[in-house]
Amino acid sequence: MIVGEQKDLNEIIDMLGDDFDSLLIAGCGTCVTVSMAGGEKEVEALAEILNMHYKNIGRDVKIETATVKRQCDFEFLDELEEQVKRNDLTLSLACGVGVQQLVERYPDKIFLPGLNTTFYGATTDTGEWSERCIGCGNCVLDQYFGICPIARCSKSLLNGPCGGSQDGKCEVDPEIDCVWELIYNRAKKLGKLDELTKLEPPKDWSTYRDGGPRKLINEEVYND
Amino acid sequence: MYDLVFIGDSIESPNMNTLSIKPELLVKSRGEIGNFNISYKNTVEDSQLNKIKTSNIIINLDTEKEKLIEDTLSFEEDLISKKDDLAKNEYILFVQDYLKTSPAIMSKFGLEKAITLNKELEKSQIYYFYRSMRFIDENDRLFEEARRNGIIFLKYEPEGLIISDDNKLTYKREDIELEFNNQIIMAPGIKANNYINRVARIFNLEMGPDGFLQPENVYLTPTYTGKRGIYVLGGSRGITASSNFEEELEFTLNEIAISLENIEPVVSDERVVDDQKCILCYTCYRVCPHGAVERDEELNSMKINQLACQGCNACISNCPANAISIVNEEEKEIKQGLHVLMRENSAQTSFDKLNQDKFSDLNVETIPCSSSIRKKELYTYLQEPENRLLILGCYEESCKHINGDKRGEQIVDEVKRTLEKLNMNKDRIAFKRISPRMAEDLDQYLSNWKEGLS
Repeated sequence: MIVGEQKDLNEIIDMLGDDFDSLLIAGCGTCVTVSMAGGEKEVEALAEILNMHYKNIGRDVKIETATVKRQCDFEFLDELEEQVKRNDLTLSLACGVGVQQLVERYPDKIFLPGLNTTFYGATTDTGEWSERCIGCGNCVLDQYFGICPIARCSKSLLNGPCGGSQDGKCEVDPEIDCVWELIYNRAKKLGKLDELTKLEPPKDWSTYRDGGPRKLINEEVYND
Repeated sequence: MYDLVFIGDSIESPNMNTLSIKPELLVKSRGEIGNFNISYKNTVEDSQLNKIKTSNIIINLDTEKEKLIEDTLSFEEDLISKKDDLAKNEYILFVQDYLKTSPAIMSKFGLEKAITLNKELEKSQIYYFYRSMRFIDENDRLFEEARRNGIIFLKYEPEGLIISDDNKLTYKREDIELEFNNQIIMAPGIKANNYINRVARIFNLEMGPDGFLQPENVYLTPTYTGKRGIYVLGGSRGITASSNFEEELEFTLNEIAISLENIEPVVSDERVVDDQKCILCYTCYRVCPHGAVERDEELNSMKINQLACQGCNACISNCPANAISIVNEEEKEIKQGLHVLMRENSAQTSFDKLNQDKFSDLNVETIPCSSSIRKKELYTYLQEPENRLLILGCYEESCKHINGDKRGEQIVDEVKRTLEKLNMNKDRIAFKRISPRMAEDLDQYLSNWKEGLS
């Protein structure tokens, strides 16, 4: 799931600027709803916050809200047509994908991002999400007993921990588990420690961002 | 349909149709009091699931006992059979409360064993080291008898007693310093059952301190969990639980017998999940302190079990998709001025004792729990600059909804942070804990708050 967090309130206010009289706050009802950043509840709360702010500084701003199932599919964005058109600005609380889809669907309008799209993650506690994948385009989980050193090692090391691994924690932040400690312990538990002695050659990053923006075509359904 | 299912050891329960399931064989639980659907396996390797229904559940798991120091004996062992070996020692050293305070039942075992051994071993002197002697059953009589019989009791502070790797015991106090190299008999370390997390996850129960099943809360005594129809007995509940096992069992079986006659919902107004809006994020499932939410596998949406629901509304205020609502809930009228959202029973009981005329200018609203406050509504109240808002919640550990007060305070803190960011006075919203017996404090606090003083 894509995890997002709402931008700092003052950053949002600065980004919106002074040159508008009406605003649509558009939520997204899938990933960022789960991470409690851009679903209907957050959209409506932000509308009240901004109303309160603009009233406080003596500005007359009309704010509308709408939340669609997913902003990353045009079909859902069609539902927003009237609202997008009648407002000066749209603040999208979707991930970066949703904001760009809106731009593509309504090229004459201005869309601003209300969220920082943070990572692909899992819910690891109530109100806590943790990064588990970076979408490198060439999954190696089979070699590391299902724990990803690319996403979860601060240096994405593939052949064991660095010298900054102390007491199972990463030198970058003591809150971060050293993924190599996790991989080692799991291998030990599975009785497969010897498999970790295999040397992994440098990773081919062309399937990741290094190969440029990626596109995926499924021949089975693609409309050529 | 069983009346009662034990997770762990079964206990004789007259007039009840019961079944016992080992915790490692439990797979799934759905439903609520009066109608739990349980799936379990016959053996760990088995892939076949048995499905049964039960009205009630008692979780009755033993604690895990661990030897704190190698090559020591335990209070729980048969020491008499080892008396010939023990007799070779000039001193016999009983130690309880090592690393952590031992429960009263361990004092009982220790005292009984020390007295018996003292009679058997004429030439050995018994020392009994303890940090606090706890009394149940006949412990006070045993303690007195032991001292009368010549057992020497030495109380120690945590740092005052050290057992080295080679089992040398040193005891230090201001006036005494002793060193022994003799047989040590210790109260075992006690920790929660290895399967307790699995059981908590399957029943969606809140965990308490030290990994046991019962959070510290006045509403959960003696054997309640947050979830109606599920009880915790003995070692599932904590290290001291076994001390009053018989009384607690009697209470629990009596509660179950009453529920078998008739079960009524706790709340009259129904909470429903809009299956078109629900995104199955499981937030409601995670925040519900009563395990009242589960997935409706037919609708593929979450649902709220009405008998399990205790009406705190934490699910409603936390649902990120705004998918949960109260059936036929009236829309609130936002009045201007000073608003007080008051937790029913606790703060409200105190408020009812006050001179109402003094506070007639406040807009007072009763809420079922401070976790029921909704962020959006709080901002709506605060739209007008002269409006201020006070939320009166419960004290921790006396919150009927387990952690509702904490959730309510978290929401208020979030609103305060927002007000601060907007350069507005964050004290326009306040959270205060009030118990039913704090009428005087509330009078003072409300009078100050009205005047804008914190």
